[in-house]
Amino acid sequence: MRCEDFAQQLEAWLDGELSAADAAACEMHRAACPHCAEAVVARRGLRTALQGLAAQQPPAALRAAILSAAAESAAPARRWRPLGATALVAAALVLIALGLRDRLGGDAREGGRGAAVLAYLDGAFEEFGVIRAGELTLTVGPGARCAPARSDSEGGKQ
Amino acid sequence: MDERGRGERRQAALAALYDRHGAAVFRFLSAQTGDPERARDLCQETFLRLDRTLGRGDLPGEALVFRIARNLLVSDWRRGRSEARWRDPAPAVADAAASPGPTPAQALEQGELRRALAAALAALPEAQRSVILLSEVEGLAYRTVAAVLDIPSGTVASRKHEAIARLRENLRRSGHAL
Repeated sequence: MRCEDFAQQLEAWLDGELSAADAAACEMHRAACPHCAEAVVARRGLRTALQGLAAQQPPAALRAAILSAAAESAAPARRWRPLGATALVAAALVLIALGLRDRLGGDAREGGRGAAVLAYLDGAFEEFGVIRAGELTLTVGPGARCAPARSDSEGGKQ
Repeated sequence: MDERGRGERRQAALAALYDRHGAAVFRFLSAQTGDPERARDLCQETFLRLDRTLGRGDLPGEALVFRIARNLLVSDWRRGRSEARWRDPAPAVADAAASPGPTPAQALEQGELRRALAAALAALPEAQRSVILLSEVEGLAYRTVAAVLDIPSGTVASRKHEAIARLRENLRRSGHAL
């Protein structure tokens, strides 16, 4: 190996990036060439100096600050997730109730099985504090809207 | 696992990630900015971004950790919020450099050569400085440095060769040799 080749491979050799064969060739040249051996010593000195230069330690409080900030940024999402799930379940129940009311309303007014289903839904909704199925009526077609069923019986008009 | 359990597991993963890479990331950012306060802020932002990747399997590797840190650093420079400079972390020992005939190792300890080396490093282009800090100081393999900087592995070797030569030239101009 010539000195020029050694100089070209010096970085990769010191960094352990050469193959075993190339590394062995570098080692043989270093052992035989005082000039290149001196270059290796100087190069290792520069490495030590650079490592000493950049030997800054992080502040002791940085770890706790990072963990605290991460917990804070995650907290709002975690608080909202259960509320979102509850809202979705409630919305689904209301839609089901409205659909049932629409389909069973006539049956309920005639005292059929639809009345028992609506009574069950009323109980379930009361337990969750959401809404009473029997208090809603659904108007379909032009001007569709959802209004309290009581106004249906009291006012007689939607 | 409930929400609280997931949160605790994620916190533990972030703590483990910091324990593994925190000191190295801070060292890298501190050497790049020369400003420990700015390095602390960038280091915190690095780990908060990494926190968003947790829960997707294994802990992120060092290539991703340093890549995020370096990208934040470059963005910071582009916004003009920090710049490559060096604040001597131990100016109090600089007076001792006046003693005659210190060896290079003594001069480094006393501050004179340390400041010259820091200035020589800060004068390098960011791409060359990053290669030196990641490979020389942190001891990352060339393939990892390549992943951090998004360059081919072969480019790392040639870039480092050029960076070391330029660093030495900068040192020679300031009257020092290493």
